[in-house]
Amino acid sequence: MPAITINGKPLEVPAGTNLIEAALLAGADVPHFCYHPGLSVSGNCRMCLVEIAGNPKLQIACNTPVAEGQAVLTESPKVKAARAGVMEFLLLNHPIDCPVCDCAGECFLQDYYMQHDKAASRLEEPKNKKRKAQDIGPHVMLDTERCVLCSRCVRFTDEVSKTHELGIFGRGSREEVGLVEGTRLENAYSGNVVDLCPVGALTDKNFRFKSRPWFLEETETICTGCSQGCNMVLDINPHAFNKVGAGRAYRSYPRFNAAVNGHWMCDEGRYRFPLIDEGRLSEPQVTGLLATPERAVMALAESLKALGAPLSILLSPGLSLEELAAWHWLSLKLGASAILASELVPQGKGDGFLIQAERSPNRKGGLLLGLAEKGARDAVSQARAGKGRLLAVSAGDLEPALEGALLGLLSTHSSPACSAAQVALPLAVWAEQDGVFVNRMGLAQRAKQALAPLGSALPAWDWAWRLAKQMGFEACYASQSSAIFEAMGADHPALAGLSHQTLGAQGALVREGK
Amino acid sequence: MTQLDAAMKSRFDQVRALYPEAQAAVIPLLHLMQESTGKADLDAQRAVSEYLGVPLVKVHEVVSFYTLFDEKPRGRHHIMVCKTLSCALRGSQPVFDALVRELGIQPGQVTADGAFSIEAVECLGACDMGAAIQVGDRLHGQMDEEKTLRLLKELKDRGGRS
Amino acid sequence: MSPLLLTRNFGDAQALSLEGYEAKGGYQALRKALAMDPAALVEEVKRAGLRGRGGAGFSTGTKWGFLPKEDGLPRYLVVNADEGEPGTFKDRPLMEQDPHQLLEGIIIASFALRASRAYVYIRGEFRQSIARMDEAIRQARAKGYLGAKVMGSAFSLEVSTHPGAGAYICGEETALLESLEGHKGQPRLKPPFPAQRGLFGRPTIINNVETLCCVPHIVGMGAEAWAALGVEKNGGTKMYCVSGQVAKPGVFELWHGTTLRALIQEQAGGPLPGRRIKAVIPGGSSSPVLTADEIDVRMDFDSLMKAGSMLGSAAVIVMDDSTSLVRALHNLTAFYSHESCGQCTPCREGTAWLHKILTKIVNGQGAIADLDRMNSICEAMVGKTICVLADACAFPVQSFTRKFRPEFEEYIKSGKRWSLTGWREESPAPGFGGGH
Repeated sequence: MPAITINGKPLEVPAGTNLIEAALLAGADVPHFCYHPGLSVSGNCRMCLVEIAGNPKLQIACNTPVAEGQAVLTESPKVKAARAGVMEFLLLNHPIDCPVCDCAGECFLQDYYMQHDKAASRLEEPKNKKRKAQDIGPHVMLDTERCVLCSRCVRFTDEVSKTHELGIFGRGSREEVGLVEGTRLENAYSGNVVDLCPVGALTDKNFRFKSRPWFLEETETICTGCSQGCNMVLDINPHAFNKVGAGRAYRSYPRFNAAVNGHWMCDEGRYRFPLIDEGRLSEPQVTGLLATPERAVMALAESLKALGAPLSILLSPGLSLEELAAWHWLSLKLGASAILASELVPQGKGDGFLIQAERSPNRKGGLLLGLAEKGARDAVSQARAGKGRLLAVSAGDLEPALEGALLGLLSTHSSPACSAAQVALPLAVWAEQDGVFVNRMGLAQRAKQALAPLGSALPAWDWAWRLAKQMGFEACYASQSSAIFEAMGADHPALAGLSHQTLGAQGALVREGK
Repeated sequence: MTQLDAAMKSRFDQVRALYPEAQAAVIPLLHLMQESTGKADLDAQRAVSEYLGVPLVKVHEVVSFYTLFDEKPRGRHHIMVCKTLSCALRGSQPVFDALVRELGIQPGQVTADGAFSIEAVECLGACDMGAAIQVGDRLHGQMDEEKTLRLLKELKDRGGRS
Repeated sequence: MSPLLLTRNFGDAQALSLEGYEAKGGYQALRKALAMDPAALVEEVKRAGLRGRGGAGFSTGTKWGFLPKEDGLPRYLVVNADEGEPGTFKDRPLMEQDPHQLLEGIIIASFALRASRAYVYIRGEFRQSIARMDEAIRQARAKGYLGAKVMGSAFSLEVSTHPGAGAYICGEETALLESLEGHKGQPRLKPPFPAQRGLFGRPTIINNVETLCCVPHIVGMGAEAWAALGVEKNGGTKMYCVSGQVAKPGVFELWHGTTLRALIQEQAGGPLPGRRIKAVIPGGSSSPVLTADEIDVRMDFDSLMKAGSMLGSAAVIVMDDSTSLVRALHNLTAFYSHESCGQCTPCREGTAWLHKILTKIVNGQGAIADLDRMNSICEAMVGKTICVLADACAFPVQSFTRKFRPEFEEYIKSGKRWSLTGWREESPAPGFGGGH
């Protein structure tokens, strides 16, 4: 491991590490635009120039690997002058769009200006004008006047999505990022270029003009759109005045996880968050009429006591581990057969990258808990034929396959099945509870709670305890999902010793089998 | 989708065979297309892109970067006037002005009969012949207004009109 | 003072044919080289002290020595015939008038480097050069001097020409490789250098046309004899281009010990009648300008470096007292801003900004403070970029404004636009219809 010094501070860094990453380890931030750990090195912005003892010329940190004995300076006068020079060049033709630019507050130019520049413009000549507000795809707007030509977006469509839509056309200071006429930025990962863009050249159409980022609260969570479980951040705006039709969640974007999604997520997952607020079932119903939670729980308990036929409980593989565990326990108490209803959730199409054909986020988790998967469809048709009773706990994904009148339906979203059911109870979605999901690789990850449940919605385990209490059973777990999860270790060795806390931000692998 | 005729495809094959990697043939093939069709437009770019299996955006980038490629047709006699220092010192501006005046077009335009277009270009590597212009494949040196008008007449008489 | 080596066949149409070239002694050096050990050939070129004639003046033999050991996979020689440095016109006549000389140099060099494939990258505007080289290659192949067994030896070599498409930056080695590979001509980050990873990722040597034309002569007469034709550390003969305001612009093959004054006065006929030399660019537009008092410098790489400039592409541009150096500098910044590939920030924005400031000055709207502003912009450009185009633009800006500051201040104070030559007042308008 080469031993180097950064600003005099000695440290050992694995061979092959570039100086931007090495500086980070030393607590020094080397500013940069074009460098990104998920893309090839471009070395064109020249912002990361650092001084290396013995070298008369400054070197770009992004393309300089550590070498034994290197003495690197990231804040010397030469370095500061070079940085200020680059900032001046980048700001020269940059439009001062900040008041109307979505990137304000998370813009590299703004941040670096405050940290490394603060000089007034010396331009007394006309600015270059380029094309603004171009709609280049279903999710992305392009403003080439704001662009600093770092080429991150071009490298993304070449190296990651491999769809080659973007290019930089022309030469010199007039060149522009763009697409070939008649083509659109339409790949399944297009939203990532917005994350990549260090300035407001590429912005999200969905998020356009909706909020300033400093009003948003971030929650580290995961996507529940398929079994990949990409790590992401959900942004909510707690200060939003509720406009009609506006949701509480504003946007989601990927979090780095080397084992799961790298730096990226797919567009489908990125733009799922409106489902947090749209079409929700937020109040209980009894025979299709609004009811209080207490009344609904009582009604359901009565039905369960008066069962004349075998009861099947369908559990969605989109529920959290805690929800699945609680209902598994309750089903045993009720003498019902709990079925992990994977076969009722249609498969999608995998793309060999992040998108999985398996669209449920927690099937592996359900199997880990010992839930059987056989017989979901049979249970539905038996109940239809009057030969059995059916209760479903759905993450909004089972409804299309449900027929006939259910004894009870717990769901996140509204549908005709709700009013058809004897009792319908509203469920909190993944963003409204702390829950663990096990992805297809066996990685248990946390979806952290970002929002309070809508209306009277509750996590499914909370309804399970209320029902149990109503029916006179002793609840065997405490009433916090974290406690539920920790206690699971006793019955499931694969989860032994894990807690919400130890799962951290990057999850933990669970061992297969019982 | 541009179909290549057999003759052009055979020329494409000959060029392609010169390189171990397909993309290296982009520029020579674009030259062939522009010489044949008069322009390196999107159709030409698509033909090259499809033949080589190189993404269209990359071919388009190349056309946008290099000055010899033009997506619009040029005149049969495309007149390049060198504007760089050595030629400028020997009077390239009056040569350029004479062309604009006589032909009634600006750079980027073509005369109505498609015969002429003009372009101010950077150093042609003919500085001892300054002021130098290049028409098609031929360099003409020591140009002044008078010689320019004479050259135009010659080209027009030879078959280009306007 | 020097025999004609490189230009000995100029004007002789006979030399365009392989037979004609051979009748004048051509391809003897190749025969001699093929009987030598390739490593010995590299040593010979090193001993001769041949320095790159594309602009950098780097020891060719040393560069050749950078190639790693053979691994059985392809190695390439690439000929840089992308002559584009303003004022330079020596490679074109070498290709047009003595294509076999270059070809012989290519074959010898490829043999020495154990390269089995050579590409001659010729700028797209040089139609005649491309045609002449293609014909020479065809003739050589027909004669067995190219292909499977060169001159019956075990060495095989294929050579073909490859056209550029109009970009000065493709004269930079790695931009040339990018262009050859079918991309925009954007220089690569270095390291790795082409000798390690070049064309198609393989070890590659790139040499200038004139450099390779020297090789048959080095082999033919021997390293020492060739070196002795020059001066210390600057061996052999050199082609010099003189253009601008001189009586007889042209390319001249001379001894390195020639002074710039002698070159201008004796070879190029001196300034035009009734005019005095005011400023001279000695080595292509990227080299710092010299005043009329500084032209007694010897035209070799080291002497010009000591004088604060460079030999570069040995392209001399003479400006006399009828010329506005402000307009001249403006002409050059138009060039660099147009040719900047645009990849990296200081060059892309700096060259364009410098040109905008000079446009303002040229149109009579400048301020004295603009001169210092331009200088600080140059400082933010030099040494900060992927390639040296930024430096190439900064050097003339800095040297013109420093050495001729009074003229610049006078121009600015006049508040008027002046013609490039002839000191005529012009109405503020861009020339060449396009913001220049």
